[in-house]
Amino acid sequence: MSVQQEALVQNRKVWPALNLVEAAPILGDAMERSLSTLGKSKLPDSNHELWRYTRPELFGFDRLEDRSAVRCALRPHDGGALLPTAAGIEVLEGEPARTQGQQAFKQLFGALGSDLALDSFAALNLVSASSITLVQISKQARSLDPWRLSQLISNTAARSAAPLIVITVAAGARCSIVEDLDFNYAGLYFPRVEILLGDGCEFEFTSVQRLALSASYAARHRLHVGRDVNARVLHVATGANASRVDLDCRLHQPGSSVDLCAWYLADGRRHVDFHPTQDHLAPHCRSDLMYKGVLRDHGRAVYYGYIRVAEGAQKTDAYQTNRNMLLSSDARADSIPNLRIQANDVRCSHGSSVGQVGTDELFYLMSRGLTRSMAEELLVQGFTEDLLTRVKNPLIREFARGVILERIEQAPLTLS
Amino acid sequence: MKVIEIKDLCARIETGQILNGLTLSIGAGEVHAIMGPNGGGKSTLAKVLAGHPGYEVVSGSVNYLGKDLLTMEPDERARAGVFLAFQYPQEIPGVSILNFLRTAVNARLEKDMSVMDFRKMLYEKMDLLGMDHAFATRFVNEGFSGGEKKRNEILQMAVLKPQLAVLDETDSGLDIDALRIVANGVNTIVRNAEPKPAVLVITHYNRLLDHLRPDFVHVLSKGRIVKSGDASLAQELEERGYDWLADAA
Ligand SMILES: Nc1ncnc2c1ncn2[C@@H]1O[C@H](COP(=O)(O)OP(=O)(O)OP(=O)(O)O)[C@@H](O)[C@H]1O
Ligand SMILES: [Mg+2]
Repeated sequence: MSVQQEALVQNRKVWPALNLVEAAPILGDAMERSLSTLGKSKLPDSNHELWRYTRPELFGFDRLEDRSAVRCALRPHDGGALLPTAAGIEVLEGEPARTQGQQAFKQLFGALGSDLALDSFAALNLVSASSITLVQISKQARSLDPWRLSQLISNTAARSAAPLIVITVAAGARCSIVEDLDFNYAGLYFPRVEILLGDGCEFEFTSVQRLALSASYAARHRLHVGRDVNARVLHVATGANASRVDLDCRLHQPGSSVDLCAWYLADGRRHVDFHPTQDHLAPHCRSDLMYKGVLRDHGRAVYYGYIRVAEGAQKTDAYQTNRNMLLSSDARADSIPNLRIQANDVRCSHGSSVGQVGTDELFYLMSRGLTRSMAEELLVQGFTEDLLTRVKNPLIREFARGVILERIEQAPLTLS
Repeated sequence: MKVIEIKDLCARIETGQILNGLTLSIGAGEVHAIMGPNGGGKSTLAKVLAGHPGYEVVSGSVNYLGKDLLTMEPDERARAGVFLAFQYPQEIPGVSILNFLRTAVNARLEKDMSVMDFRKMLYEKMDLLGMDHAFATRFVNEGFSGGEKKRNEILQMAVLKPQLAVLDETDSGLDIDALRIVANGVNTIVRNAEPKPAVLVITHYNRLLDHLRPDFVHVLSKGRIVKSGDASLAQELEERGYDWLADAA
């Protein structure tokens, strides 16, 4: 037995979900590769650049030894019953997901290459998968009226849950999917969401993370973008004691346009981390990222963004901006935007800022009679509204605004 | 009755003193104009009255309607009726004029005004100033032209109904028509209000004063009032400049 195989056998005891592998050989290969990346420790290496600002210990990854499956279902965004299928969308789980997902798995973990070899975090995330859900969106889906993808932890006593959710969007489809993680769970939620976007589709993915403070959250979201796609992704993170999202947006084909937005709040002693990557692998694509965060108390935020433009990805337009508003001198934000550009005919820019509420803005508002706390609240609202103007779908915008305002009101924003 | 009495006011920033013993009082219903060379301290006076934290009052006193203005926070002053139309109005991204002004009005009321009632009142004031209602939902001063920013300051004054209004170069940046509309707006607002407010207009040009017909004109230079007179002083300054006064001072 090779060392690798031996490791695999060893790991099967620790990672029972590897049984998933039997029905999905491609996934099995990817998992094996992941395991070799992980090496002995099976945990992310805190010396790695990707963990420089966020200690892996915050997440308690050792809890992955005890994982629950996660069940998914669709629900109309404005309420209503859970549905297995709706308007050209089909949700498959377990065995059917494994068999029908072969094609998608092949693309995700085979030909398209993978993040697994690079990063033990990605590897850990994949080998930990405790359930598989396949969401198939056919070209019958023609509307941007949002659908909720609700997620239910089967055994809430388990110390972690790590669903693998694969969303495939057919060429020419139009669809808006929302996940609203609002359940009361005290463990580690560690999902991986893989999204495959077919040519010419228009797709929105909205991910709201408002888990209980007792929860930890680490997610890996990947977007594989085909030709002439319009995609919009919005993240809102207001919950969990530690929250991290690695978003990999890969533009594989020319002619596509992607907007990435996020809003986060780090208050109390919460730690919020975003690692977005705009990976331009093909020419004539556009990606625009705007992430905004509000920090108060002893909140900590990390933004580590990457724009990568591959050789040959000419005529790329890629922008990333991260803005952090500090409402307390004990809060801290690390904002690190990066560019790696290997093509010469591109337009790229990055910007980042970390700052207290502007004294001139504050004075202007107070000079009209607003108390300091009213002025601050209005400035935070404005900071937020400025981001929301980028959210095209009015239903999503309203929803996100509601989530954010509710959270802001819960914890009045005052200088501390 | 005096609305405001400023006595021997001295104020400084870190790098030096800007106001050097300034004395000025304005009665209810009076319009005073301040003119004077660039850098003389006109905007500094305006901001000190509004309570800008960047300026330290070293000595002197400011009595406002029987209260010691200098001990009040900027927002208290505003709620007590002090209003400054800024020379350089601040942009507030993401905050609409409607939302901003409604919050400002509600900060003064026991019971909040409904969105509907407020909108109606705001539109009336906008009509008075010839402003498109679409401005109500625009973010405060963001992307506004110079003249639009100035008009927006006067809109705020109209909504907030101050007892002491300080207009810092509200006329600069306005085209000729806008100047007339704004001046008429100011006249309507201040001359019709009850109780009558005190108005301090800072300007470099006679054109606004022709419309506003000030009761007094003062020259502020090197942090002090160096000359006061009636409206004819403005005319004289236009012809002779400030040099003859600087010599006198
Ligand atoms: N915050 C500040 N930092 C540095 N210098 C300042 C500040 N505020 C005022 N000054 C200085 O104080 C002096 C008076 O400025 P102020 O703006 O009051 O002049 P002003 O009379 O309004 O001039 P203008 O007619 O050009 O508007 C100027 O020399 C100015 O540079
Ligand atoms: Mg000035």
